[in-house]
Amino acid sequence: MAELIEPADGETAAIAYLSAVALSDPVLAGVEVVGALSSSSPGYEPGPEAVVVRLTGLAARSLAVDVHQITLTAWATSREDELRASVIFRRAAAHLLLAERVGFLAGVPCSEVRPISGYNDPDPITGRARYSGSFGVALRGVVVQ
Amino acid sequence: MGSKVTRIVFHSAGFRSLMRSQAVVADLARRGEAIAAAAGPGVGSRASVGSNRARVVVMTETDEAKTAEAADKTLTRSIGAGRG
Repeated sequence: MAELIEPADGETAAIAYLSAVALSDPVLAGVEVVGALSSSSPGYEPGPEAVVVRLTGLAARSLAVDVHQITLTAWATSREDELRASVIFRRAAAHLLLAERVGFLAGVPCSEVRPISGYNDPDPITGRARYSGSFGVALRGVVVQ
Repeated sequence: MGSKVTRIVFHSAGFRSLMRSQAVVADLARRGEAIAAAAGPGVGSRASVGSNRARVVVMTETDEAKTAEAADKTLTRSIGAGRG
């Protein structure tokens, strides 16, 4: 009987992976790693320093592998803190790229992490400094039946 | 026993001609329009032919669309509409 394979939960895997590495990386000490909360959600504002992880696209590469477009937005505390936002973004991006060499993203088999973009992206609502970028992350799907 | 070496000679002018062809421009324009439509109002696309290849740019054209992209990544989320 053929296996039923669904795409992995790429966003949750990326959050779990980056949350774990943030605990052991002094550069990311105190940086929250959170999910797809929009900066315009009522009452929501990311913590003092944060990486917001969002799944912004998904395409099947083969029967078993999907490419998840993961977008990271690194927040610094203030409008003036562009350099810190850049440091957080670049370190989080480096960890994400490492997942390809490790072969797993929070336990999900990961065969490729390809950078797509990276740019200075100040928040239009609060003015806080941010850097954002997207990555194509190839993850194996999950056999559910 | 001698080994036979296969040489590949690229026809660069042919590549360039293909990448600048009307068919490629039309395909890129269709993909750009699909992405712009998925991203919502205030996002437009423009296809053009450069010296080596055709290209399409999809961009926010209004303050509202720029804010929507910065807050919610509305254009970034729409890139998938350009596939297929």
